[in-house]
Amino acid sequence: MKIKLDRTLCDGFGTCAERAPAVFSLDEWGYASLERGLSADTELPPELEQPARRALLDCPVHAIIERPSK
Amino acid sequence: MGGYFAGLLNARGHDLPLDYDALKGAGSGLGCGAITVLGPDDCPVGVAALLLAYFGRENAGQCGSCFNGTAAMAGVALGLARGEAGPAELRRLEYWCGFLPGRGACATLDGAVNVAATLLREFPAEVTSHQRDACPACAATDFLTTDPPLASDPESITPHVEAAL
Repeated sequence: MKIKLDRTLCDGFGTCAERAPAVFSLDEWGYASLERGLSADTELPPELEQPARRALLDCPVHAIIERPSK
Repeated sequence: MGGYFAGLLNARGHDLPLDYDALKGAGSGLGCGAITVLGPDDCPVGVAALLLAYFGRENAGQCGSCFNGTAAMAGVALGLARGEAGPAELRRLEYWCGFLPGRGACATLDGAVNVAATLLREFPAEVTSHQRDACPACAATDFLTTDPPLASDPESITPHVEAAL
């Protein structure tokens, strides 16, 4: 699973960092970014897929987008 | 050096060749090639405050990390220029320089971070003295309404920065 975070859509709800703290980090204003070392081209390790998908489904502004992975 | 986004470079820039690789190697950059040379009466802290205020004002307002981060860094730089910033504010600025890069969708935030990071790296003595003594050049600058120095048009350069290339 690969995910992309659209930072222009993020409104700082912080749900993603609650659901998948190993994937998302928040700045001090509550806005999310992918954790260091992760990018839209990173294939997430299997143990992070379920929390990442939970974060994707729960994001109120749909700022997390799944990318097709081969 | 090389555009607002490449940040500031101290006097060692005089001895560097005008070359992408050489400037990159020195931790700066030629970027878009727009260079403003600061004179002896110009204050690097004041220039950084003007630049960060510009980034805080003119960013696209799309990413939270950017519109908050640039405004926060501009706030600390303004406080420093006015002699109101202390060690706690400087620690926050240093922290943002390490934490904020890469958090925006584009590189505007990274460019603003470069201004703050190069101020701390290239002009540590000036940063320290602004915590202690009032700076006459900064005191004479209205940071809220003045645009940062422009490299392209010598006529438009603020009285704050006299020499331009």
